[in-house]
Amino acid sequence: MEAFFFYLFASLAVATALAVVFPPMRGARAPIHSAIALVACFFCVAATYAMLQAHLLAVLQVLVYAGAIMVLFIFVIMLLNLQTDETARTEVGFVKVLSGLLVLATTAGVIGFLRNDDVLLPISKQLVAQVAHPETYGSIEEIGKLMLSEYLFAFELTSILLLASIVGAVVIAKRDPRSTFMPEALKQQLYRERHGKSASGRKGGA
Amino acid sequence: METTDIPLHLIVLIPLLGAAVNGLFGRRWSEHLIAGIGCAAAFLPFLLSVEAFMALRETGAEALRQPALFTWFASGSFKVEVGFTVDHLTSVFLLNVTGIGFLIHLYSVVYMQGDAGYFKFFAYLNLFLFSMLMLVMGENLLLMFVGWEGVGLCSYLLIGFWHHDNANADAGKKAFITNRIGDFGFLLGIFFIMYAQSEAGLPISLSFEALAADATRFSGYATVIGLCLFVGAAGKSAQMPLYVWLPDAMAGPTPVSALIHAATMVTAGIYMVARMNFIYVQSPEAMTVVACVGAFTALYAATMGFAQTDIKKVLAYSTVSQLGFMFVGVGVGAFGAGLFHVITHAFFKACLFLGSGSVIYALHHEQDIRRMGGLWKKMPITAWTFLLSTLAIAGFPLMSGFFSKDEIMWKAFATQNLLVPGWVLWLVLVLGAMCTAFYMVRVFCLTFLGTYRGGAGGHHDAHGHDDHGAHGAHGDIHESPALMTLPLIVLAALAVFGGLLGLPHWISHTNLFEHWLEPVFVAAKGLKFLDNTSLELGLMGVSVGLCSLSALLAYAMYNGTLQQTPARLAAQFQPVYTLIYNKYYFDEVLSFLVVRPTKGLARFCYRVVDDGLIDGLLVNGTAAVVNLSGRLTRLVTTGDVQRYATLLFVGLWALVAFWVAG
Amino acid sequence: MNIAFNVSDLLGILPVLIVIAFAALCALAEVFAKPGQSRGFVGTLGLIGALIAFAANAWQWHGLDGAYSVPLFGGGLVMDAFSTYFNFLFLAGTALTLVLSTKYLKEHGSDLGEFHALVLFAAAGMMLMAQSRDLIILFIALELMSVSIYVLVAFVRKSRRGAEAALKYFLIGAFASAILLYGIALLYGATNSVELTTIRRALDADPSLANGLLVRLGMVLVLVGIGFKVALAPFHLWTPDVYDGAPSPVTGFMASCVKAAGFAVLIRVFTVTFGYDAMEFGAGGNGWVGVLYLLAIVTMFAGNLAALPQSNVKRILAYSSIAHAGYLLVGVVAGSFGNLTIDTEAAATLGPNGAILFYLMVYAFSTFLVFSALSLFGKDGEEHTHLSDLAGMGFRRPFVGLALAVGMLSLAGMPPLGGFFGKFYLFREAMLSGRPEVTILVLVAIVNSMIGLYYYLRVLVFLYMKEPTREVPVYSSRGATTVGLISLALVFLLGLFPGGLLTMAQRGIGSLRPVVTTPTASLTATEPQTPPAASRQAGSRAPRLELKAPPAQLKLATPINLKATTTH
Repeated sequence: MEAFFFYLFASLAVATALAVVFPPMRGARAPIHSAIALVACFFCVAATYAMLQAHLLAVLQVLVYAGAIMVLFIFVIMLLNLQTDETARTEVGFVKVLSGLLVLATTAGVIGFLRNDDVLLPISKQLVAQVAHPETYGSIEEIGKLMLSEYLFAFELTSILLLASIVGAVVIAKRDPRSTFMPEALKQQLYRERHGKSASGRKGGA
Repeated sequence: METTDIPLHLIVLIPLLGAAVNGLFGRRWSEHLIAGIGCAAAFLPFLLSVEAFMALRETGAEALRQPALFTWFASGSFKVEVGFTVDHLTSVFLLNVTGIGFLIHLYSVVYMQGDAGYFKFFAYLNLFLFSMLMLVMGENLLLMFVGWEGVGLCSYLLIGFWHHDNANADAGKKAFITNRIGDFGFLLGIFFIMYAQSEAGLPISLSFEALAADATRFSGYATVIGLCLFVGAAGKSAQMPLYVWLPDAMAGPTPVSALIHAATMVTAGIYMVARMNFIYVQSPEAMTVVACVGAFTALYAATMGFAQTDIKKVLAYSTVSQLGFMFVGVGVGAFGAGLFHVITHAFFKACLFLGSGSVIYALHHEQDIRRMGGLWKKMPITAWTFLLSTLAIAGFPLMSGFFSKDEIMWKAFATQNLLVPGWVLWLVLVLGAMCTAFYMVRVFCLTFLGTYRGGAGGHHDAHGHDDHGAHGAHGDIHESPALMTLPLIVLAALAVFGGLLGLPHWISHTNLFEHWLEPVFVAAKGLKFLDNTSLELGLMGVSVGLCSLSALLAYAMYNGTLQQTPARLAAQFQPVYTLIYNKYYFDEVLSFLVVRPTKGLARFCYRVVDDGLIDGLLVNGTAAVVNLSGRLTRLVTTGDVQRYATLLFVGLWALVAFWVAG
Repeated sequence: MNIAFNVSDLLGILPVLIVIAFAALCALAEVFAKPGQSRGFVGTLGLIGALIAFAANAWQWHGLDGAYSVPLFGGGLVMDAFSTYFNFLFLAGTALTLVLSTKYLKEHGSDLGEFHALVLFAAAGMMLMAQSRDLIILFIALELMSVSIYVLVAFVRKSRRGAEAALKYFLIGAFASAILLYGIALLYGATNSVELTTIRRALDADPSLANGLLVRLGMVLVLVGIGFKVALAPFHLWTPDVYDGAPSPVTGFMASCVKAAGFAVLIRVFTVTFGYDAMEFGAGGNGWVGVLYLLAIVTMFAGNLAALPQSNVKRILAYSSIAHAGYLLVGVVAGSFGNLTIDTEAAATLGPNGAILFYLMVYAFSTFLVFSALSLFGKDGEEHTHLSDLAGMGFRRPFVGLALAVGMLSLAGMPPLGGFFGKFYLFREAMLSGRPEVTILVLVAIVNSMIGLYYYLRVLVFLYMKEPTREVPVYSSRGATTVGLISLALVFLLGLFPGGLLTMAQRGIGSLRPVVTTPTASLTATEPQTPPAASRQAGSRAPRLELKAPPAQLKLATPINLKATTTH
């Protein structure tokens, strides 16, 4: 039974991932299709996590990736309002062929890698040691404890990383260094009020 | 080793100060002030050098030293200090560098007048003095290397001094690049020394004192160290096959050619070999290489002298050839003889260069000897000094060059320390000396004798250089100012009488020069030479005879064949002239049989080796490499992110394939 | 493991905390600045922070006794002379970047306080990279640095090239980070730990594991992740575009500090942790040194040859930085021969690594010297760093020319500048490792530094030997002059009197040796023994750090006798 669901979700994950790269329909809506396929892919992966008893990871996968990040993606795609000709660049170049070959090679490599005793033995040894307590293994409580004890510093450091990212995001989002953070339209309106009507030249530079 | 209160470090630092003052603030100063500072910064070290020399003589000490200025760096037991010592070898070079350096500073005061880069020129010259003094006074190999690099840099800057002309800048680059090849060898040599020391379980030290004391304990590495160092020496001192930069280096102002590319810097290689004599004497292989390369260069470069028409280029090839003589000297183990030639060569070659500079100055930057001639009357001082120096370099008996060159030739014949028989070296050197006499007389004849061939309406030779035509008023060619002729006279006097310093043993009981240097070459005591005065005298007679013959031949060919030779010149040299005139047809046949092929050979060497190998392979090769890598880079670095990511992945796969799977 | 930290743990990362606090302060100060007000004061604030952190770091340096290291936060971080040395470098680099950029930002119309905050955040990331002994913390610290740098590259809003460069850097950087993370995961899978000491112990205990496929692949992936940051070929392709597009002060910061952080990690992770059986090549041993050996050769040639045809000084410097990464790799290779656990060889392997530390410092100051001058060329989001823009600058702006010329000569390795000594010392130490293959590598490096001369000298040719063809805007700045003078003085001083810094570098590298385990430690020993020093600190509540080694540990300070001592 477990095997059946594993293969089900795994093959679905592969199929949807392929659909991200090769959207089934051409045209202006292809990016949206890709994004939706990615959401589906995330769900499949989350299901696989759940089957591995990594419940928290599964939940986070759905919440963070399929939820927050994908919504952002879709917003961006809609805001960009891509035209057909921009998405239809499909000529096959040297780099694309090379990338394709690399993907194939990597796939083959990973399969071979996972069948190697050199790899399997140490990992299974660790797994046996870890799954000694199946009732708590992968539980949210256990992970929470780890995060606030052994990995406390890393956990706290992540908040610094987030702070730096926010500051960075603000910098990237800010339009004009002389103004505080405000929408572009509002800023232009303010500018027009201050300088009269001759603000058309300003738009391009901002 | 004696501590002294003579401020040795000032000898090095004063020129640096001069360079700094002139270089940083000289832009707006008057030429007088700049020249004053520049000359003072050369003269004060000279005085100090004299003082140091006298102190050495009076105390009889082996070397003077002061506590190190500071420790450059130390790691573990390995310590490099910045300190200066003056031993007998150094003192000789000190006097040479500062003395001739000062004279050439004086000369430049006039020669460079009106040049926009006047302050820069003196700053560079002083900087050069600083580096050169560092090179000879540094107490360890690393300081010497610093000076070594410094003189290379100054040489580069000064060759490209008139860098508005691309050819000059290229010449500078050529010099720099060729020298780097040599430096590579030098560095390798240093590394090998340290490696050898650690192998032998010795504390690692690069100070000459320690090296001289311990050299015998790593004799197994003497050959490889010696050869590596010699690569460095060959680069700096323009030996085969790294000589190519020196002729091109003549693009620099003539005082630079005299100071750097004749009298001082180019002898750094010989200085180095002499300084490291304790390494070389342990390796007959290395000595053989040094001597053979020297001998071959001596002949090879001398033949090139025939084909040149630029007065400075002739002198440049001559320098290469003379440096070859010096290397033979140090290579066969006659360090004193080699160094003696360094000194005498500095006298007469500096004089020749300055003389050529005087001519060039008078002719408004004409350097082609085919467009000179007849300057004897117009520039008597230049002509006389040039003549004396020519005689000196040709080895005319009792001139300085005669003593030093014959000493080397005899030692080459008599050496029993090499893997090749001495008479081979001797034979090559005699041929080289003959060529030297020939082309020097040729230059002298074409420049000073005959009639003036330059200027509008004058005679043009068969090669025709009409495009150079408009030189303006050549009618009023006159002698250079006193500040230029004074160094000429001093140097000519030294060129004539300098030989007295090192009279051979069959004239005077002690050879002052070699006796003075003996303490430095303790390690060379065990070397064996033939001792046969009558054979020595006989060989000397042979070589003098051959050289005279070749000089007379040159005179006949370049003065005697010219129809326009003024009768008074013919009358003045009547006996000699008639003698040679009667042999004229024979000479022409000879010229057809020997000189033409030789010229052809020279041209072949010039074309194939210089143009083909060096310019073609090295210089254009560099360009080709640049080009190719440009194309490759453009292929890879397209600015395309996807491509970068793909290539990153390719790299990853390569590592995996190489290491994980392989 | 319980929550194991107290005041002394926090004191151990005091400089990092100060830097982070001031980063937050800078970001906050920006909020309170009036629109249109100059943000110079934010820069001053950041500078003060960097200097205070520097002072704190100096205090740690003096508190640390000899070659001794103090584990913090239960072993995830460490404070040792090695990390403290690198912190000096990062903090000095940060301070110089801040001073250099104030005027630059104004000239380019991007005078925002966040710049200084981000520089400090990046510095905090680098410092933690040097201090971390835990792959997770290492990864987060690396991301902290990278994210800040991504934004800094795009900081000048008017520069299109900056935005493009940042995007490229970000995309490929994310790619490399993922690879690094995957490598960490594999190592965790193999050893059940992300802590370097534990990993080392596990590898020591089981050679078949250490030589196995899993560990090897993990190491390769980690190597690619780090190699990307320090720009090793073939993971260097982003470098020219990003160095060129980034604002010049940021380029200087990247070239000096990001690279140094990468090498700190490289030494700590590879030389110290993976030192196992390093010299065996091929199937018999782990042999990762062989990989670095090839990478070193490829990197040196890739950097030097590609720099030859470049005509933009910033691109030249980008390739030069790649080449320098190659030279440094020579040191890593030479320093990794001979296992760090084996006492007799330890002394030999420390030399090249110490030389790397020295080299990085010299390289950092040479780079800042160059960029102190180069950042002046340009205005309003457009930098004029083409070679022809430099024509005649040596005479028109003598000090700008001098800074560029001396900086280039130092990078080229001309005596008596610091760059020469760094190179000389590095190659010498590498030669002294006495292995013929390293000798060949050093020869390759010397040949490469000769190739390098070509493009460094070309800059000098343009500075002093060409006539200017067009007018380029070059502003003057007191900040840049200050940075230039400090760097100039240091470049000369380090060339003439390298002794002091050398001693520091050797002490820094010496402190790595206590990461030594007994051969008998078993795989199951995931719980590291509590070191005496740590327990002492945990017991004492004294606010002052007690860093002196207890007498029983004193033999660590003597260079060689380390056998069978477990301190981590």
